[in-house]
Amino acid sequence: MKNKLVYLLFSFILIVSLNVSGAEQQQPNNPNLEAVEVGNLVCPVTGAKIESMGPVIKHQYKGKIYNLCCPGCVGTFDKDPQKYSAIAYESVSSKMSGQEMENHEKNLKPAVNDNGEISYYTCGMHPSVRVTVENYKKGDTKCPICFMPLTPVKADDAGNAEFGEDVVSKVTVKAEELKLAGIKREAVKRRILYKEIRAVGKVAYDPQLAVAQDEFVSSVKSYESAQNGGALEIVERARSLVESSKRKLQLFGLSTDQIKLLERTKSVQQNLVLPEDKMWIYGDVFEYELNWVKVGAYVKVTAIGLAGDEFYGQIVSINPVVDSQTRSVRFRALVDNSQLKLKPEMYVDVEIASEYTDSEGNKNVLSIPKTALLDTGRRRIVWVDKGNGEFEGRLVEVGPESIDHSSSPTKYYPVLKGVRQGELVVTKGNFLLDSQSQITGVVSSAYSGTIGSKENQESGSDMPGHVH
Amino acid sequence: MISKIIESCLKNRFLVVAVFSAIVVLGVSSMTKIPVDAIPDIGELQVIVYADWPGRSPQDVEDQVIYPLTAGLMGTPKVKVVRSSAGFGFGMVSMIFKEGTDYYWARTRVLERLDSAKKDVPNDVTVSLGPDATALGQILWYTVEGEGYALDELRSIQDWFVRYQLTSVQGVSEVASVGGYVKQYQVDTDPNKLFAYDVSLLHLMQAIKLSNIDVGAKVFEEGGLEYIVRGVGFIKTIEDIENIVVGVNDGTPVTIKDIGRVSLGADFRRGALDKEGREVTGGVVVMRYGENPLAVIKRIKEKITEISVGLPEGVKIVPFYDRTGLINRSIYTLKSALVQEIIITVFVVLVFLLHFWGSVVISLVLPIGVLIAFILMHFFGVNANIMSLGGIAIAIGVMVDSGCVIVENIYSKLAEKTDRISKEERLETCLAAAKEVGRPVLFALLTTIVSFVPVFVLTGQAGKLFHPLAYTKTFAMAGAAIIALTLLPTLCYFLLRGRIRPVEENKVACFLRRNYKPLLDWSLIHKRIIIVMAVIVLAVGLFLGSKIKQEFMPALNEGDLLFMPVLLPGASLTQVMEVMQKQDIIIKEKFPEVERVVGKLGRAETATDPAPVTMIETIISLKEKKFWRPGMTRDKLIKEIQEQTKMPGVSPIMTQPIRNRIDMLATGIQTPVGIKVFGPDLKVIERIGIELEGIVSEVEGAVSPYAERVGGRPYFEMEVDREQAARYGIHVQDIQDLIMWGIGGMNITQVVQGRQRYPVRLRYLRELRDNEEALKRILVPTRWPWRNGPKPAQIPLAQLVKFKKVPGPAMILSENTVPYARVFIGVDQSKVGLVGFVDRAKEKVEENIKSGKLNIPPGYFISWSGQFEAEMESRKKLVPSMALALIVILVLLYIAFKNASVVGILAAVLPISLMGGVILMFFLNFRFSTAVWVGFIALFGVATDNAVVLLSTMEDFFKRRIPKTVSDLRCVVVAAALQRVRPALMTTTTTIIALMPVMFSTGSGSEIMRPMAAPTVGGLFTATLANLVLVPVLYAWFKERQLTKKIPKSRGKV
Repeated sequence: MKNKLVYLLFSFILIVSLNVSGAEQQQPNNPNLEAVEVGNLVCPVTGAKIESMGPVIKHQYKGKIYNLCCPGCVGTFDKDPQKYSAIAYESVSSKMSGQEMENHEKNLKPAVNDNGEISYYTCGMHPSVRVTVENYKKGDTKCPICFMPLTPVKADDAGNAEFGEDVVSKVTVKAEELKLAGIKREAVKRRILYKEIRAVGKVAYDPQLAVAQDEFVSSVKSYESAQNGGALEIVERARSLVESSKRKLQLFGLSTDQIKLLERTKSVQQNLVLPEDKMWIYGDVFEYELNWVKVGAYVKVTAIGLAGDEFYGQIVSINPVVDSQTRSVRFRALVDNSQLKLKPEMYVDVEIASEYTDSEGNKNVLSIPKTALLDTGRRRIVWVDKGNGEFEGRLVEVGPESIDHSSSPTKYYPVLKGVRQGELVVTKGNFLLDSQSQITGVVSSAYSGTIGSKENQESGSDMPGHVH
Repeated sequence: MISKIIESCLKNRFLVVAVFSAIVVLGVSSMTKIPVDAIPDIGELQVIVYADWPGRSPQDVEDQVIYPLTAGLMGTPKVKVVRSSAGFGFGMVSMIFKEGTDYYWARTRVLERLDSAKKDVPNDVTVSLGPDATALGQILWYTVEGEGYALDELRSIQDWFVRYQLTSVQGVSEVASVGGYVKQYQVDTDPNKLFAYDVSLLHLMQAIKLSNIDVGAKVFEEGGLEYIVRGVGFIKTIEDIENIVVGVNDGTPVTIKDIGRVSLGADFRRGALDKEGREVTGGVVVMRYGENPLAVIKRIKEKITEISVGLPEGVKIVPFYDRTGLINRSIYTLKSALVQEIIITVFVVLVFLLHFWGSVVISLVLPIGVLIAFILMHFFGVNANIMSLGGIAIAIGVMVDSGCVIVENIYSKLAEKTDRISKEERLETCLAAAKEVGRPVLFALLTTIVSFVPVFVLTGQAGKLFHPLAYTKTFAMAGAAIIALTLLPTLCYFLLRGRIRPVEENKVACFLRRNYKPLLDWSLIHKRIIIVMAVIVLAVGLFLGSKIKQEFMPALNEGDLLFMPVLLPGASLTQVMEVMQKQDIIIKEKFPEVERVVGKLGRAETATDPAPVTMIETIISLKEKKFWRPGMTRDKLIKEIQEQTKMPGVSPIMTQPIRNRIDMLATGIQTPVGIKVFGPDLKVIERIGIELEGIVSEVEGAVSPYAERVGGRPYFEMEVDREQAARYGIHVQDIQDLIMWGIGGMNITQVVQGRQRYPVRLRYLRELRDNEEALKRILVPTRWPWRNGPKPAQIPLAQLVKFKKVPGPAMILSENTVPYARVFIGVDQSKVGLVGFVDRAKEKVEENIKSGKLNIPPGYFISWSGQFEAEMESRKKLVPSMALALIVILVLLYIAFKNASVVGILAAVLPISLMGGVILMFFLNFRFSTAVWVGFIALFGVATDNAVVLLSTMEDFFKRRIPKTVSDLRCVVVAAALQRVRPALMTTTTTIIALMPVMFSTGSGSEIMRPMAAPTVGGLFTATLANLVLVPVLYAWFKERQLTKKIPKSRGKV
């Protein structure tokens, strides 16, 4: 009797403890998903860009997923899968160097990584909080700051830290998330860019200059007639008269070319005092803008009183002296006024567009849309789409904000360093990607704080973020 | 004394009945008057001073507003701490008062101080006292919707009609608007034109100001009539503004339309509301402190129906969040549990007693006891909520105990008499029987109350949560005891008539005795097995107990969800809006469980909402469970929503509305340990914090220390180059005015349209100020004509200021005027104790400071805080008070028994009952939380009750008949135990079964009540076994040893 009871009790305890250990072992199994994204951006069948003919078709063959441009290609692909898969692979690898290819192969990931292993936990509001899986299991399940439940970061999301020098961080985002975030990309390409400056001006009403021109023309005429048979003394006097009236014109801001032209045509510009089909615009720019105001730059003129009308022309000359009263520099532009709408003394707005050239004088420069740049003042970061949902944050150096009139939106930065031609930069949703990189926190990025950014960078070399 | 009370009650029977009838009436009326809420208000007693300074950076707000304000407010009486935060365009000072301070007294003190403190802040800052409400004050959110109405029209309806109407509802402190656009008359000017027409921005501003005024000019008389004279000149239309003259250009007037554009637009906003992907406007109703939320919500809804008639065609007010549902559900959960408890208890009593009127008498204890508890709640100002009603719920089973004991005794005594007894005899018998158990009943009440003392000493959040429960439980117990001692004997006299069946005829009692006797006999022989089993139970309990995880409080299921995606501090309103709308659409369209989705980003215009623009708070109202897809659970739904709405850079936090409000307003450190680094320079405190993070992480037991990074928001700074400015003769103020008015825009005056007021704003044209290039060209006029020229020169900003993009603080927190950054430290408490950890960490930090590794400059200091403070404090109070309570109970027992070994037996039984609770908790997968501890404390009080009664009966038996031999002794023990088995099982069964409705409840509030009931259910189970088996065994053992000492011969028989 006694023994029986003891036996019963022990067996009870045994069952209990078995249940306990059983409960602990219950963990989700990882279904072995083999499908791997190849990530080709060009359809191996038609050679067209993926998504150029509608949504991408994911086609699985031998455990790999190939991107096709349209449903029609599926059949063609299946007829000779070996050939097309090879093409697809080639299209991926041709864009990369050997080393990159190797990395790419390494980075090929299962298409579905929902069951990916959790690498650590973090708090959405305080992304630099890291809790290791062990500590999480110990009950460290809340953010130490806000006490909200921590969210798991899967190994696949966490990215890896082996980047080149200019890469500050990397994130991988699923296709549906990308769609949701409204990520838009644009290729880095060469453009002719203009630097735009806005200035105020007036339609010239300049009787003084007209008089000066008149003087110059008549002095030139008298000099010429004196040359034709006058005494040396008279010729000399006429020459000095020409010289002094020429200097006067120079001081009015006429360029040497203009003066030569005047010397040749000998006609005083009537448009300085009356409306004609070409009008002079006198505009003022400030000292800091002088760099961008060049003779020959195009101008667009709008008049306050003439809403909707635009007048085009070019800068002809720039005053050699800064006006001491207005602290500005006057330029002269000649604009088209075929309908005689512009009248002397009218106030006008002038937009000056001067061509941007790089240090070597090239006009066709590599550029990125303005919206692609995240600027902290400390660093400038651009997010590059590496395909396959992978994005890379790169440090870039850019020139001044400029405009490409041929496209819309029109604002661009010329790129000096950091991205290559043809790469896709993110123009919308890049802030979200940047934030994501901080949440998954591979090295550092845009807005991680005054000291924080430096700290992270230093510690980033041996340890991504700071996993405790 | 007790006997006298019982006697006088029995003698004045009708008076007793009359008094209790009055109590019932009073109780019912109290029940309807008590304020009802879902959970007790656990927010701190804080008065918020709110400062509005539109467009200013957190740094400016901190330096120029918050610091002087806080400095002036310091030293307000009874203030515990002054915390402040400076955000973008606004700042808040929270004055936390000591607990127990009168709220309105505190507000008056703050107002007094504020009067002088205000003098030190810039003139254009609006400083005001926040609403007289706490974190839980936001009781109702609504949208104002209408097909075909623009957002600014709806906002006007909200701002100028709905808001004021709802504010007039009794109990409402404030109605704040959120979302939509405030209509604004916008004057956008072109700096080039200003230059061309030679008009300065300042001049333009004054011109607008001077063109908007109505005046009165008394009266004049004409023909016996009196005319009131009025000068009419308010701006009414856009044309009125366009035609304002700003200067003369060669004889022709220059008007605003020449130099700019006037249009109707939207005021700058820091908040938006979205309903299922469509932008809407709405409001939040904030309830006054101490009001009855249920009643206020009801009044608001009535008001809404009332004013809906007056709204423009097609416009309607749709509440999208209110607490009624939650309150009603929680109260319903508890109410139904209470009703079920009462019915079950009545049934159990009936089974045990098998006497209808007897059961009725006992059962009457419950409703009347509950009513008495309500009267006391009303009297002491305890609100009805999950916790306080929960207190009553866990008391129910115990409440009938005293009634059971008294009625059972009277019943037994009456049963002993012959069939027919006279009235006098019946009265005598009742009196005698009642007197006999009067003392133990009162005694049991005392132990229950004493055992609950530790709950009263809890402080902070735990205190605020559990005090109501402790109060109501005590009230209910006291009520039950009063009824048992006064009303029950009287009722027994009236109702226990006719033939009373003796115990022997009661089938249940017989059944119990028949089965109990052999068990007891066997146990008395095999004492060792019983004791070994007891030790095993103890060991198993301890082992399982060590596996159970800990938490502070089980979360209350609020029904509605709060989805809180958060973006990093740099995100713009447009970006956040896009995220919010997309997510709302997905949540509404993909989840049939969702009734309604309304998202809010940024702030509602109330001081109780400090949310930044980057924070989205989306309230997801769920449909009733029956409309859900099969197999869908709340947790699964949350996970799926998070999965489906996942976006890069957005953290999908899911929480609950009330929980979140409490978290949002409670600033401070919620980790077990935290370090606050104080000092004037944010960069320095950040550096110290980061260094501390490294130092502390080396201390054993530290889990993920994290130093807060203060900077994180991009700033675009324009720093005046004084040399350049001097060169052009320009003052800094000239530049700053331009930056403020031209770039930032400023509301100059108001357009008065009847009841409505709309601001008139002056600013540069958008494209001329919204990027760096444009900003460079903004022109600053020189103060005087430059070099004797005809007019002042205009100098572009690029030549006067340095443009910088720098990261800066998104929000600056400070405490008692000193800014701080926090270092959060988690502690692995299975490895190290909190207090020990803090000591070691402090030592380590000291070491580093001494060795010079950690440099803390003068003016900087660190302070240790966090939960460990509260924990230390409550442990300091809880542990000694629990020990004290235990000692008091044991002393009381000793006084009752005058026998140390009996008290020893009781002390031995107690751990066994505790282990029962632990084991049950393990199998139900509950965690140790404060709720569970309170459950154990409740168990404490009742676990020993039966043992006490049993031991006293055995003592009585031994007094009457002194056994000579061991077998004789055992007979006595068995006889005593058999007599107590029915009442003992009756009381424990009522308690356990009465808690079943609570244990099996699933509605709102059950998350907190179930862990609280579990220890009692599990504990009483083992306690009953221990009481019925272990107590007699131990008692017999102890008596046998006494006996064998006296008669050593009989030893061989064991």
